Amino acid sequence: MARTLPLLKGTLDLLILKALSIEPTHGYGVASWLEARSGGELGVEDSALYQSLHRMEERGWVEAEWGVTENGRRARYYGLTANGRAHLAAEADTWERYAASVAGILAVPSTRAD
Amino acid sequence: MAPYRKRLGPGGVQPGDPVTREVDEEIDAHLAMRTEELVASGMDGAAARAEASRRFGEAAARRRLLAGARRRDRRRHWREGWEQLRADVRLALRHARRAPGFTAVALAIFASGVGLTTSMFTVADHVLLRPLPHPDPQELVALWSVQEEGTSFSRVSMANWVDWKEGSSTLEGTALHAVRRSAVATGDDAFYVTTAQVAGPFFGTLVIPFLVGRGFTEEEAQNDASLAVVSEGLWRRTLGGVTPLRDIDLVVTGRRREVVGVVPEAEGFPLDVEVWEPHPYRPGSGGMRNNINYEAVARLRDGASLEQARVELSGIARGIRESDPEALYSWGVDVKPLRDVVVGEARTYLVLLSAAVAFLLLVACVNLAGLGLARARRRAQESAVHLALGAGRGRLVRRAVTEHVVLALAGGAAGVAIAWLTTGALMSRVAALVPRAQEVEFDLRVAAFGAAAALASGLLAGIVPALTGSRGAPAAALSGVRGAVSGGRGLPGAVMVGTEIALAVALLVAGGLLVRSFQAVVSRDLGYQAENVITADVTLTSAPYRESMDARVAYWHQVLERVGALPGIVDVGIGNWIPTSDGGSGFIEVAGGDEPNIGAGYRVVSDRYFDALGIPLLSGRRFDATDGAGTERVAIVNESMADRYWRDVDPLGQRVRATSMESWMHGGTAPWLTVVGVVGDVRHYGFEHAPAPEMYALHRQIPSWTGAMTVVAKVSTAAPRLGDAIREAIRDADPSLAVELGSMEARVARLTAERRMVLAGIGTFGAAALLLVCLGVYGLMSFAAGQRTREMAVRAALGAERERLVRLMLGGALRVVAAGVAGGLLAAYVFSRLLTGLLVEVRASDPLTYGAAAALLAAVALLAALAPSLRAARGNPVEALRSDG
Repeated sequence: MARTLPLLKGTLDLLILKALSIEPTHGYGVASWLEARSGGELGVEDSALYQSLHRMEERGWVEAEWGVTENGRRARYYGLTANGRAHLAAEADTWERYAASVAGILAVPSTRAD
Repeated sequence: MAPYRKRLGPGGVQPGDPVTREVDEEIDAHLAMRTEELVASGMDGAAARAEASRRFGEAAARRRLLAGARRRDRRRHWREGWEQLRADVRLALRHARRAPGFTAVALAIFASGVGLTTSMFTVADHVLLRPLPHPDPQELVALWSVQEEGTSFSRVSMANWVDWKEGSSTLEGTALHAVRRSAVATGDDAFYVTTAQVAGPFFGTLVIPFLVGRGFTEEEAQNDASLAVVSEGLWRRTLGGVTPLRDIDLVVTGRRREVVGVVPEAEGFPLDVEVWEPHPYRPGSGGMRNNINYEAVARLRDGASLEQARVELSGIARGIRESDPEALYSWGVDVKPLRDVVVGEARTYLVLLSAAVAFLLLVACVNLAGLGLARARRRAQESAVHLALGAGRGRLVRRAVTEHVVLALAGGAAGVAIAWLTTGALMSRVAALVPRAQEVEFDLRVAAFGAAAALASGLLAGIVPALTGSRGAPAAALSGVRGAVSGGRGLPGAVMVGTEIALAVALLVAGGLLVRSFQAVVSRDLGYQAENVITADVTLTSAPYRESMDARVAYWHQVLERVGALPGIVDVGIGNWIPTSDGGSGFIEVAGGDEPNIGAGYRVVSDRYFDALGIPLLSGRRFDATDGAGTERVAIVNESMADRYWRDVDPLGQRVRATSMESWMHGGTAPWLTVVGVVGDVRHYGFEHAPAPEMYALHRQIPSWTGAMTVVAKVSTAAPRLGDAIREAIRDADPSLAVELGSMEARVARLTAERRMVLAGIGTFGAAALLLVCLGVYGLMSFAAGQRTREMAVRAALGAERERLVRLMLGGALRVVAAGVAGGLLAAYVFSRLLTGLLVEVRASDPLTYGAAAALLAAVALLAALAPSLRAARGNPVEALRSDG
């Protein structure tokens, strides 16, 4: 969708970890939570989401097991591991510092008004 | 978000592998959920599904997911497998430490089995696979003369060869060589070396490299130039490694030669030659065509095949036969790969030994499998626990096999190390059997073979115990009832031992047949006495001898006098081709006979030659002082000749003459000789060849043309000092001549060296197999006895006598042994067909051998079974009954 903002590399992992830190859920659950939280601004392709989930599973940041949804459907549920939690904390901290410094620089008034 | 979930595994009965199914399920669930939501917000079903699919991503993305999942799955499997292997190995090591007895035995058995097999492989690999050092060895061939259908000789005549050479288009190059021992002198030293006379582009055809210098050109050879090429060994050791080569002082058979080239160690041909001399070749005809004195080698042209060369050369041979009716060896030409000719009989022996060692390894594996079985049953409880806790049977089998493989690799490594260390010693012992033994190396290929053999042995030995051990009935095992988890009545163990016995019987039968065949051969009468006979080779190389026959006669007279005067000498004679030497065939003619050219042995000897060698006189008289240069020329013939040509008449007084070169040189026409005596036959070429007709001439009347004679001296006791005295006596007659000492016994021993070596090898393997069978039977019986202790105790309590108990136990063993022996005899009968070619005077089904092997094995096995049986019968019944439960 043209009007959604593309994600910067590495950010997707961070967002997914955050989502899972709220509550363990399945892939669709993560997708819809992100869409809701970003107000539709961030465009996440579902397949990219799953690739990230699988990758993080192999890295040991998340763990997965099959479960059943409220509607009785089988789905694969993901949750954070201790490593994942640590990684989330570290990455979130880094991101915030990064964002703060960028924002600080951008806040400097320019000489020309537009 | 959905808070509710239950623990489940991927289920469903969808097609496809588990990984695909999982990924598909996950994706489908996602799509379904999004579709639901879209429908809930107003879209219609189909549009919602389409939108969901679009939002997910294109097909390629799906595939990427799948690929990624598969990769991860594979990686996980590998990791798990690796972890399992490490755990198994750790467990195996722990078990090994806890059972040092079994471990030691297993290691020893594996070490010896793999070590022996690896040694054999080293030898076989070297001899059979890489016998020629020259480039493109597959193009090198040897040319043999075919006399008539089916009879071919390894030698060719120069005349024939020249015609083949000139008429052939399939051969890129061809050369002749004739090898013999020659007297060589350098400075003040005179000694014998193996030399080769070569004709044609010898070095170029074989592509022999040169360390220093070059070979002869064809022109130099044709001009009979006084040149020589020497081997690196001779050059360094004896000639002082002198450069430039022309400074070397070398005299070969009395002729001074300039050294022009040095051939590197082990790159020459034939292998043990140390000096090569050039020899001119020229065409010939008539009788010359029948002097097959040379061996021919050739290199096939690129693209020409052996068969093509054979057909072409045989065609040329036929042409020769048509134009030259006297030609005997021109029925055809046989073209054989040079590699096969060089390897020769060694191939058969090596195959035999390799088979024997493989058998031994097999016996060892079966033995270990049996031992492993016993151990597996003792550990049944452990296995049962594992099974109960959910370990798959495959897992258990893998673990048990790993244990054996670990032992095998450890033992095998030790064995290979031992083989590596002993290869050098082994090679020097088998140098007679193996061409280029000094070059055999122990390299990576051999080590790899050793590893493979160890691995295979471990797998073989481990598979049966692994399978049986993992089968156990868990409940019974866990309740600790001993003897209840035996998986039958010990049948697998009995089968193991039975198989072991069968293999050992087969090996013993084969060995026994070969031994009997060997004995039959060497017990043949050679026709002469080899004990206490010292030989000395002397070649009259200097000019005076070449020019004057009288000088030769005078020299030999002196030598015979001097040697005969030594204390301890019983008789002394001289001969130009004594038994076991390679030569002395010629053509003779019998007066009054119809054939002008009869192949027979022709020898030049002295008066007491026959006495010195113990050849009996059958009629007439020997040569004596009345026969001289001026008197009637006389000859002595052997029994074969008398029987063949003078069956109905008295051979004494008949006349013969030798039409071959020997006599020609004495005035042009061969003189007629009158037969004055008949002596016994001699097996000149060894035990395996029947005696041929032979005639003997007296050296005083017809001196040997080559001037090379061997002094044979019969000594009264086996006094080694006498050899030196004899040599000194001969040198006194003319110090410039080289003398090579030897003994008849050593020469005869060389005839059978190969066979004896093979027999020694097979004997060792057979003995080792017997030992293993002993251990195997003992082990099995011990275990069986252990199993049946309660049974025996009960019987004893019920009043059975000990003797009866022992008989009961032995009865079980007897059944196994009988089955094994029967099977082994059958297998031996089938396989002995393969040995028929090697057996002389012994049938492949010789009952004595089979019977002896069976009896030996049965005796050994029953003996091994005795001790455990006695122990079982002796056990205290009360204790036995109480110790269980």
